[in-house]
Amino acid sequence: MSLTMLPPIIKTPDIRPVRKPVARICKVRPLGSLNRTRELRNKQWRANPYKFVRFAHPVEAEFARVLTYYRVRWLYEPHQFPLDWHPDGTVARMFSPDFYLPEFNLYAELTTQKQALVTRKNAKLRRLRELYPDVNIRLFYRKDLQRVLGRFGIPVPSQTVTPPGGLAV
Amino acid sequence: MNEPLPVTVPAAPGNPDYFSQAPQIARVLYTQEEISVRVKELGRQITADYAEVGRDLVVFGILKGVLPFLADLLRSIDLPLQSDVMTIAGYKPRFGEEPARRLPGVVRITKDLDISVSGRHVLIVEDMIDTGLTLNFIAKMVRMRQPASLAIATLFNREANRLAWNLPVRYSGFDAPDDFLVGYGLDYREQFRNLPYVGVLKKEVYAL
Repeated sequence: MSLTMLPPIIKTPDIRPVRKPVARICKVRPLGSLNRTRELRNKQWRANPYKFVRFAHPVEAEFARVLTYYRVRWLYEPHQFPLDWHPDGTVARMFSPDFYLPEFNLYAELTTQKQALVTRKNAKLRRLRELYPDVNIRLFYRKDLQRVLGRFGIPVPSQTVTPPGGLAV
Repeated sequence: MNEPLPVTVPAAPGNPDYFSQAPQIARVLYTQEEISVRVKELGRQITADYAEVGRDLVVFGILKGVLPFLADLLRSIDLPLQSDVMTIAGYKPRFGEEPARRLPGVVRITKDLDISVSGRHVLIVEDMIDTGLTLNFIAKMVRMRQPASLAIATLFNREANRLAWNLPVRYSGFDAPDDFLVGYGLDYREQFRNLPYVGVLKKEVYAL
C-alpha cells in the first residue's frame, strides 16, 4: 500500500465538555477570598483534625482526642530538632516530638514500646536536652500511657517491633 | 512484681484493714492513718495561710474522686468558709466508629458552682493531679470569674506526666508514684472508691 492510499487523518472534534467561563474568568477574585478559603480549611481542621492528620500510632490519635476534649490546642509533629551533624554540615540525626502544646509551650513524646526497648529514644531525649535546654518536653512511656489513658478506658496496646533482619516480635 | 497481700478480715472497725483487701490490689500504699495525718497537716497549713481572709474563702472540689478527701480536709480547716462541688463530664472514648470520624466532643460542666467566686479567695480541691488537663480547664473557667486568688490543694501530685505545668498547686499531700492508684476516692472504672486506704492496682487489671 502506498502512502497516498492511506486514509486521511480526520481530526475529531473535541467532545470534552467545556466549562463555560462564567464566573471564573469574568469575575475578579476578591482579595479576601484566599483568606476565606484558608479560614474554611482551618474551620474544617478544627472540626475534625483526625481526617487530616496521619498519626503514626492509634494511641497518638487517642491522646490527641483527649487533648481536644479538654480544649487544649495541639500540633502533631510540627518541629524537628537536629541532634547530630555529618562533617560536611548536613544533619545526621533528628528528633521530632509527637505533639506540641502551644498553651503550655511543651512538647510531648509518646512511646508504646516496652521499657527495655526505649533506650534509643532516651538517648535522643538526653541529646535534645543537652542541645536545647530551653525546650520543655515530656516523655510518656507505655506504663504512663496505660495509666493516663487507662483512666478513660482506652487500652494501650504494645507496638509491633520489627528488629533488623528478624521477625516481628 | 509485688506479691498481693493476704486477705485479712479484722475483728473490729477502725482497723486499717477493716475493709478486706480487694484481690485486684497489689499492695497498700498509704493506710487510712497515714492519709488522715497528712490531711490534717494540710488543713492546718491552709488555716494558717487563709487566716486573714475571713469569710472570703471558697473551697470546692471536683467530683467524684475528691469526696473523701474533701470531706476530711474541710473538717481540718479551722476557718469560716463556703464549700461547694463541681462536676465535669470526663472523656469517654467512642470505639466502634471509623477513627477519622470519631470526634472527641468537648468537656462540659455537668454541675456548676452554686456560690459566686468573684472577688473571693478560691481553693480548688482535687484528689490527684496527673497531666493536669481537667484542672487546667477548671482553673481557666474559675479565672474567668475573676476571683481574688486561686490555689489548688491535691492529695496526690504526679509531676512527671504534667502537661499543664503552670497550675497553681500550693498544697500537695503526697507525691504519687508511677503506679495506678485506687482507693480513698480514686477509681478504676468507678470501682475501688470506697477503699479507706490507697492501694496500687495490679497491672493486669488495666493493661492489655
